[in-house]
Amino acid sequence: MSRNLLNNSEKLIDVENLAVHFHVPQGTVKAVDGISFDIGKGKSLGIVGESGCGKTITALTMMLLHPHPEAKIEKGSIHFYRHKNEMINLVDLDVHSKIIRRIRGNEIAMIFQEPMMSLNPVHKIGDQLMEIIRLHQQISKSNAKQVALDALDMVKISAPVQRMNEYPFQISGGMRQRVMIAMALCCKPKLLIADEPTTALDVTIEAEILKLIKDLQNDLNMSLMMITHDLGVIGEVTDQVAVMYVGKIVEKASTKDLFKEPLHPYTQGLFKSRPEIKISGRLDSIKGSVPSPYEVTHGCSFAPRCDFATSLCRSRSPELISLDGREVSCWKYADQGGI
Amino acid sequence: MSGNSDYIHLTERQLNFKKFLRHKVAVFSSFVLFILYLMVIFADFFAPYGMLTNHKYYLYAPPQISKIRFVDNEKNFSWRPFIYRQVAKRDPKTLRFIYIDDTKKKDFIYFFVEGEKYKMFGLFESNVHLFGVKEGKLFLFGTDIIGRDLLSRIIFGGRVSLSIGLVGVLILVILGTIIGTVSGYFGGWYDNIIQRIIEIVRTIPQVALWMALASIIPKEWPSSYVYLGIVIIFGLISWAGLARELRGKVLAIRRADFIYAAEISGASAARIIRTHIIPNVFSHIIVIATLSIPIMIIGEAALSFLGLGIKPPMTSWGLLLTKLKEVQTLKHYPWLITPAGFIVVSVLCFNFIGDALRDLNDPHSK
Amino acid sequence: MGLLSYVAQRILLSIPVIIVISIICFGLIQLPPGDYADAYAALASSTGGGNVSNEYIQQIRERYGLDQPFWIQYWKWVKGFPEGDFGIAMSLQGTPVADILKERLPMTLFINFWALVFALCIALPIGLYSATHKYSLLDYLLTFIAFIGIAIPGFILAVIIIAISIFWLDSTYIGKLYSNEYIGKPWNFDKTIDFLKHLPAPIIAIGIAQTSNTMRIMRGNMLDVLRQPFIQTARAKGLSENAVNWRHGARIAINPIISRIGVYLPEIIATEMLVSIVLNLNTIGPLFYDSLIAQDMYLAGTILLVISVILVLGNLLADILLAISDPRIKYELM
Repeated sequence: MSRNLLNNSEKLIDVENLAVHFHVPQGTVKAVDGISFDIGKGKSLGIVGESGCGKTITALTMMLLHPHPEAKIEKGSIHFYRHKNEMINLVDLDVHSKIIRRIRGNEIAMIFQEPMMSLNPVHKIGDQLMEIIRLHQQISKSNAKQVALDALDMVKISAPVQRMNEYPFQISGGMRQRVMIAMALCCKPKLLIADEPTTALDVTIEAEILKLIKDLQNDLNMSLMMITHDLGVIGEVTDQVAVMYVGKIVEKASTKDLFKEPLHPYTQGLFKSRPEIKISGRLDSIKGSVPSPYEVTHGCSFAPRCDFATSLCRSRSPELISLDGREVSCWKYADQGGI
Repeated sequence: MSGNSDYIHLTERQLNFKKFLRHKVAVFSSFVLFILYLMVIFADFFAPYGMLTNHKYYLYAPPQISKIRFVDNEKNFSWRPFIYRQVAKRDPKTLRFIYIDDTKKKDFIYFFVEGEKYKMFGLFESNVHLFGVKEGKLFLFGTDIIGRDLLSRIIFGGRVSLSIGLVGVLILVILGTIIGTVSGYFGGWYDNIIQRIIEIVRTIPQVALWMALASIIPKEWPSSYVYLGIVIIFGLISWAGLARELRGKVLAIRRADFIYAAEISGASAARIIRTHIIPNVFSHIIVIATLSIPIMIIGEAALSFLGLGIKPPMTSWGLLLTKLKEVQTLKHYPWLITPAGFIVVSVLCFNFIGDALRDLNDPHSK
Repeated sequence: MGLLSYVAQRILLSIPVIIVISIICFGLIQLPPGDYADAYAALASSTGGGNVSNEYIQQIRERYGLDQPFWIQYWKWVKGFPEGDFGIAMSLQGTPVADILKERLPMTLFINFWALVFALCIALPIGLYSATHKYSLLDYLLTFIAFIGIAIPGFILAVIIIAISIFWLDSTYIGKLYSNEYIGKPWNFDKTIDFLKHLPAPIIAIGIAQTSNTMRIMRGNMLDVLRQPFIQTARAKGLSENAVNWRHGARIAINPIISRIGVYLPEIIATEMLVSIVLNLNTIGPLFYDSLIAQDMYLAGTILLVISVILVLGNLLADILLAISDPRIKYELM
């Protein structure tokens, strides 16, 4: 049983036991297999894991953007605390409902990985901004234009008036990502979900964008959900972090605690395999490989690759163990914490 | 994983073949085409009557295919299908022929029946037909204005309609491949000039070109020459599309490293083209060729329909449809449109197969 | 560069092509052995006008300059172009070709244009529906119909349409473009209505093949476009599925189709020629056919040339449309 880390008035979004399964001809893929986490108002949560662990699906499901009809929310709840203390369970909503469309872009916004292909290539930047502004706010065209310009200013784009009339292919990758951020934030949402926003960018630009996101989060008192495979990004930007492996959360902690002492063997492996800027030394990698999504495992899904695996690990899936204000899903800590 | 070891030893051609088999529609189409071609090649055998045989007392007889029965009017059952004999009578009011069944005479349908004598390909003499009736007549699809069995004429006509596509495409492939490859491989001036020529050829609408060139064929030429003329015209006009496509593909491969390697090791251009370039673009050639055949089939049908194409005594599906230019004909004798059905079916089959072949080349398909 | 100079450059570049085409066209018509005078004689004797004397044939030859070498004849034809003189139609009592074309060309362009519009207007929404409701029953049905539509030659379809209209729908609005009482009369409301009632048959017969083709292409394009990331972004903004499909999806999916209009045009013109012969419309099709038989080289050659020019211009128009529709192309050109 997971302990609530926050009480209700400080929570923005509370996900409980969420499961999203894909039904394809080859079988059923449990992309997200029962995860729980919450994000406090104005706080940031990072979700880290390798490709295929289910983090992107988790992000998409937060806005009911999971690819239906292939993917279905099998169980669980997503409690979203909207303005005026109204709480709604997003899982109850129909994927096409007016309510979720009202929430998208307006109360929960998302930015994506590939800024080049994430912006419509044949619409001007100004038009794309005004599209979302006028969708959620009943204001005139000229007012919307001003809001758009303000948004471009907010993300520190040079010559915003000129940019409004340009097309995405005319500006650089870093600028495109800023435009995406502007688009996401122009309606001042409560939660920003960022799915690998800097993976496709140069390292120097990456630093700028991350700083921008952090600053904006503070200025707008916004919550942030940062999806990434890069522990460095986690360290920069997030307060809390959840580590995902094959659809489950294997460890949850504050970023400080995680970096000081990663508990789960998988998390430890992740830290060890980061190439440090050293001259010598071998690259440590986690032995084995991520299992096929169709494989059904008994026991802990990480056991085949784990140096500490015991027969218990291989036969029973570990439960979430609470420990010093953090949680970890590993039998190693069974005697240390409470379940 | 184990269990897939069967697939390790297959060649690419075998893999492609397996992939093709998965397109059920294309496989079915291949089967249909196979039957069609078999029928028209051995037309003498498959057709109940000769191409030119006219049956004097059966002008514009209606089709009997729906009248084949196994049970007669007195509820007697027989394994062998039969039809009641049709007799022609004149309608006193319109003076047209009408046909009624003589229920006293049953014509049983036999297979491998002896009928009209023929000389297949001018070599084998025989008189065995796939099916027919011993006495009386069997007109599955009816007859035309001078009493010729439509089914027989469709089968014989299929020889022209189905072969023009193949022969024309052969010319198209040879011309298009040579010109396209030369254009793409040698580049420079050749390429420029050829590109201009292609542009010019493609700017004049094909149909107009067909019509103009077809009208060039002297009226005095015998049917067989006319046939050759039409085929050559088609080939001459259509090569431009293939040449253009191939030029693009060849240009793309041209700069590849393995081509440079071959050039450096002293291989002649002809050898490089033959051993490296052609095999790589071969699949594209096949796809375009397969998809060009239906265009030619329709083109021949259009020309013959207008009277600019195949001349009698040869016949083709398009020529068989000429009478339909007058709408009254269709109203009174609707079965005359049957050749159009054959055209549509063969065009569909070729299109399905061509589509499937195109999928084989496309890395994005399943 | 600018769009205008791009257009100017294209037009300039196509002039040599058109010149060569004109030579080819004129030459083609001359290719059959004999000339107009012979064809006239043959026609006269076969239609029961009795045998035409050799002197008369020679007179015709001299009158129209048919016995002169190719280049002189060609020059005679071409030199009238700047004044709009395209020779005279010998088979039509010497009416100037320009007049004949002035009469028939607008209608031809009109019908072709609307056939194209018809094809696109039907194909695009259906293609979109097919893509967004992939594998539904309607999708399979539409795909099936599309395949059939491509396989039936246009002229056969015209015959079938005639049959259906006359015998099942009891319509008299088939064949020709005006009912008999309106031919030659000035345009008024009634004539317009009558004309409009005659239109659907040829437009459908001509447009169906293109419709079917475009439907399948649109479906494929939409499926490709809907896989792209910016569609996800559009949804994340809170747009409705309709807005996403039309404003973002279709907007991009139609670009390859616009660029293919250049390929559609010759097909439509070709089909129109055949269909108009079957339906006996007074457009260029039947005219061309007759002039070929009569070896009327000024008429036939001019028609061939005019069609080619239309194609060149049509291609240019399509390219301009594409540049307007897809800013990436526009900026590549500049």
